[in-house]
Amino acid sequence: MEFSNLSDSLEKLPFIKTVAGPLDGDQWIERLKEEYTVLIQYIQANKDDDHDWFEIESNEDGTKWTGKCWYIHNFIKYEFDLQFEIPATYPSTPIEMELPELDGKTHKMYRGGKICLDIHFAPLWQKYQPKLGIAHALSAALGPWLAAEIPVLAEQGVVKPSS
Amino acid sequence: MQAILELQRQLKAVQQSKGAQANKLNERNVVDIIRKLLEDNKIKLIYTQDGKEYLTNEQLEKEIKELLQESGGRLSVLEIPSHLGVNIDVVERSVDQIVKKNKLNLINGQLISEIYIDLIMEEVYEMLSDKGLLVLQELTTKYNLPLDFIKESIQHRMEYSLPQGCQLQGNSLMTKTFAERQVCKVRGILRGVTRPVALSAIATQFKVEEQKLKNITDQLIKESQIKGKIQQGLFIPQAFTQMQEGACRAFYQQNRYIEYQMLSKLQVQKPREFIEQVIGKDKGNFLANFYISKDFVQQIEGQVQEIVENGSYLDLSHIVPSPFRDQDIQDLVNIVGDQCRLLSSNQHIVSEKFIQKCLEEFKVSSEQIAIKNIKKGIKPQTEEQKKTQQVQSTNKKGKGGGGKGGKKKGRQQDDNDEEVKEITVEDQLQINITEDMIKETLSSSSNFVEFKDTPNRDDYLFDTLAEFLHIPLNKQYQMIFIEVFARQSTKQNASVNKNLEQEVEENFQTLQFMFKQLELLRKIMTQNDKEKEFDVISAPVKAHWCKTDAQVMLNKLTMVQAFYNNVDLNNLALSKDPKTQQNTVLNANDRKTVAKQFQKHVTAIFEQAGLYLSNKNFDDFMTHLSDNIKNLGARIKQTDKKIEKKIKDQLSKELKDQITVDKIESPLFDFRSLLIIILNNRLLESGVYLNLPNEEWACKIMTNLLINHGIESNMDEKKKDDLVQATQYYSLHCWTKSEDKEKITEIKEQSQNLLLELIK
Repeated sequence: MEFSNLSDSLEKLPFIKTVAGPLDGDQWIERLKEEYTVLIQYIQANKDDDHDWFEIESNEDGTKWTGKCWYIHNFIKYEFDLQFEIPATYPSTPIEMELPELDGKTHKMYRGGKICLDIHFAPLWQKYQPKLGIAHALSAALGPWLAAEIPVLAEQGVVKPSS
Repeated sequence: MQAILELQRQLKAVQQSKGAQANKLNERNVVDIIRKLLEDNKIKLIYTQDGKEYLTNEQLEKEIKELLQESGGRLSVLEIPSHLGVNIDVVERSVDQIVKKNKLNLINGQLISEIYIDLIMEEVYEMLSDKGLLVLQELTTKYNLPLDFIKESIQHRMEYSLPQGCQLQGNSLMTKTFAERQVCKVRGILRGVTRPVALSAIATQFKVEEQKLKNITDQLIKESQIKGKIQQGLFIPQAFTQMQEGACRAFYQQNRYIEYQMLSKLQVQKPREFIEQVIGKDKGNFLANFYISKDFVQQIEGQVQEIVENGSYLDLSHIVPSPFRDQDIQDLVNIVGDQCRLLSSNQHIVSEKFIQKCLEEFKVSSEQIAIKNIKKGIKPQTEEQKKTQQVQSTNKKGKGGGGKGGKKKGRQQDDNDEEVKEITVEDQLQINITEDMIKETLSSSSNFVEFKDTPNRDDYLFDTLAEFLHIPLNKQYQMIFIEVFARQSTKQNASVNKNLEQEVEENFQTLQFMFKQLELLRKIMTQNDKEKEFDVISAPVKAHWCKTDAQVMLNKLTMVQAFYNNVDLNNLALSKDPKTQQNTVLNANDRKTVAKQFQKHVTAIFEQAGLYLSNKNFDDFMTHLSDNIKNLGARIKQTDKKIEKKIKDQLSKELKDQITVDKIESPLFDFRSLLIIILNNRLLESGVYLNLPNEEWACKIMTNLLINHGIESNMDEKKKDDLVQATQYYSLHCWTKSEDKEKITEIKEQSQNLLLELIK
């Protein structure tokens, strides 16, 4: 999954219509529904393409998400814990993905294991918000970040293969 | 919220499901797997240029073959990458494999299949049927293929792809009918030819390939369809050869000779071979420019024979055909005129007899000229002089621009002044008989009426004869000159020799005289029973005579003998006379050299005499000489009493002349020589003259004889004492060094007195 395919992968996913953040009550519920639908669609498509690369679940109100993501480099699977929160000003503020295990192991990351997306993803989000959601963020931010960073980290021996 | 929970459940379910493609490998994995396989060398694949596809070699070959077929059997290798999207390197490698495996040709980077060649052959078939002749070069330009490839392809398919009877000749392909038509054409052309013509010219004019034309011509000649031959690229029709032979024969039969140049005009390359072939080998003679028949030569020979017998001359211009040139006439004369000479004009031939007659005419005048020249002091040259002069004269000729100018009148007069200055004997000899003189003598001679100065005289013959005679006449003159010179110098030599002969006679007689005196001494001593002492005394005396008097006499005798035998001493390697610097006989080697030139028995006499001398055997020498003197031709008288007396008187006079009181009293007197002379004289007076030299041993012998052997009668004691003293003084003079002047002056007076006493 390369950066050049970024817009392709975005195009495969439908945009989200409801504009609401976690503080917006029923409106947020509506949005969350849409988020879930798109997410399911995305996962389903990944499965169909034999390209499943993450698992997530949320808390009840859908503001905190946890799960795993993995990347296969040279036939070796590297798996990491994934977590993120929906910011209060969502969807005008983009989601910040966290890979706590990699905290301090690469400089392309903020403190607390938040991956650095300023250059590629932030402008994209600004361009399409509020139409983009969680699935879009996973597809266009975390996916490319893993593809770019993990091979480097794996070569450096910073990350270890999962079992 | 219910809906949310439902969605959460759905999410979980989706995440747990395996997806539609769960059992299939996705593209990414496939790429990885293939890459792994490639790395392990388990499979070999070719990438397309866009990287989207893999190909196996077999697939690539198959695709290339398909592409070749699609493009009609001819495909540029460079086009393949754009069609198949594969790199050119890979394509080239694959093409090489294909060409190896299949019946395909790779020509100039193009793949060409059999199908394409078949297509070409179809077109060739059509063109051939249309034109009958096809030049392969046309095909190369048309199909842009190499000639060799086209030729090879055609040769392979000749039988089944082209019309029957097609021929590939050189670079042209032609049908049977066309070839036949061409043969007919050539036959027509060559039958029409009447003179030699170059095949290349026919080829250009009638547009037939030259090689083809040559082959056809050869074949036609072989089949006797045309008559003629090919020679140096020319076709020579038989009619032309017949014409040449006919013309040659006709001319020859008419004139009995034929000129090579005429044959050249008839385009005969080698006239001599041609004549041998047409006329025959031995029917005539080859001259420089003509061939002349034998009977013609014989006819001329007959006339020449006539003048040889008559001793006259012949004007060839009436006999020899007018076109004959100088060289031909010279050749002809070489054949017919053994005893004749051709004059420089190449017109007249003169018999040797006639020349001899002319030379005879000049003998008297030559001799007169020679005598005149000798009187002027000219001498014949020696060989060396001649050689150096030859070199000089050749140099001169070289400088003067060469040629025979010297022979001509004008040049001689012009150069006269010069030649007077640096006159050489040779020049003088050559100048002595000029052409003018020859002409004058001939025209005034009664033996040569035909050369009288009348209008009827053949002036041309006269001039050339004079020119011709110039050289032999001068040669003859030289011979006469040398002869005359020799005759005159013989007279001089004879007088010289006579003196020498006289000297020899005198010397011989003196020797005989001395020999007799010695015999006398022997007798005296034998009477006194002193034979042994005689031997002791006579041995050194005889040895001395062998070294001196006898040797001189024999040398002179050798020279006298040389004169009688006409041996030229100047031609032998001999000693030089210190005075005259002429060759003379001075020692045993000279004698040997000269004696070798004598008759054998004379040589033997001289060698024997020489041997006696070198062995110091005086007695045998004298006997040998006395026995043989008559055989030597020298008129030498043996001694008799009269001669002996004459010799004795002469010797006595000579000796006495030398012993005068003045000489003794002179301050520069030589005691020793004077004493020896006195002693010799006293012995002569006593009848035992030994002619001994001024040496101590001689002095001792002589005083010994005088004192002890009673040779001199009335010898008193006083005289004996004087003699003894004189001998002592002699030794004193011998051993006293010239520096010891005191002693010499001391004994000077005494010895002078002693000498005066002795001659009293």
